[in-house]
Amino acid sequence: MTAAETTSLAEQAVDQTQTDQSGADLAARPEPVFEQPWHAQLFALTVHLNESGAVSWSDWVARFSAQLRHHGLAKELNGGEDYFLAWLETLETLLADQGRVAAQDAKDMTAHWAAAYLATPHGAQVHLPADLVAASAATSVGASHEAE
Amino acid sequence: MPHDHLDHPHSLLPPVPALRVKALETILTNKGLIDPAALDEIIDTYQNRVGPANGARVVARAWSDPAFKAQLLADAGPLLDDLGFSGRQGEHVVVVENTPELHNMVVCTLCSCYPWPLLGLPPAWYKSDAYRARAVREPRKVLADFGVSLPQDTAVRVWDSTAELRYLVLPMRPEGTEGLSEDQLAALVSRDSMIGTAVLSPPAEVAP
Repeated sequence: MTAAETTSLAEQAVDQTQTDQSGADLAARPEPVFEQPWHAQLFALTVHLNESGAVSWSDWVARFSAQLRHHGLAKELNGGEDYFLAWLETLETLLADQGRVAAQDAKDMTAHWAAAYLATPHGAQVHLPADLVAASAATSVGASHEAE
Repeated sequence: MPHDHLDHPHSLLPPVPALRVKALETILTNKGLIDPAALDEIIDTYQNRVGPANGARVVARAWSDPAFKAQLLADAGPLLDDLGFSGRQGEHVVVVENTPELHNMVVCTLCSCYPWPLLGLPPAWYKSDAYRARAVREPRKVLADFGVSLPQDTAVRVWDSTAELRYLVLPMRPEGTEGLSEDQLAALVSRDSMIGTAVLSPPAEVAP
């Protein structure tokens, strides 16, 4: 623990104190819950997989803890972006181990999404080519990306 | 790659991790394993509906109703079920009471287990290596970082959360709050006081 890290923890605590003093409304919603939209999507995806029975929470926690330990060896994690990167790696590995999403399929689909963004005029809604989206899923996938 | 920033001929490319999340979502949706509408519902819940106000209601009720408090400390589960604050991951919540003799503080040394239905999602510092490593080793120093200094004869007990077991600290009721309604009391209860990294001060209007 360096002095700088100690300061950063304390500063975050002070920020929170100031927020908390503003009354009941703010106490209910003290700060943005998710710093990035993808943090929210990833969190929700994992919770949904747990609630639908695809992922047991104790297995999730065991894997995620190990991943955080592994990442924490290289540098001190700040609990923000690096926390969700560890989360993402954990989920990708878990789904690959389960045989639900092969690592190569995930890579390919990531590239398809990048290509779709680059091929879509600025301001227009981004869609994958129709042949990459199951017919039954096409409508809802489109809807879930409208906000971006 | 060629990229004209002046007139943005194409959509801005999200960061790579965001594309990786989209990829998982697309594949799982194609396989019928997830429902994208359910993802939106989960995000809305944690962004807008679940937060420390839930825990504050429980704390205010415990301060106001001795029978509720006794039951809460003995076995919080049924009471929290009644209030609609049950854990979605099937975990149990244990409520630990702060007293002049004992201060309780909560951490998850393994990852970031936290009583979501009562406090929402944890702040970044709760998930940081710094807090997770130091809370157990040197809790008084961590408390000092948060501006909390306890009397020397107050013991500090640190509770380490797990996938199955989450903790909520019942903070000490501030002095000068006699006669306040439950709603008024709930407004005094901060998130950090229910993690045990803050103690509550008397409300400004009635402080001496």
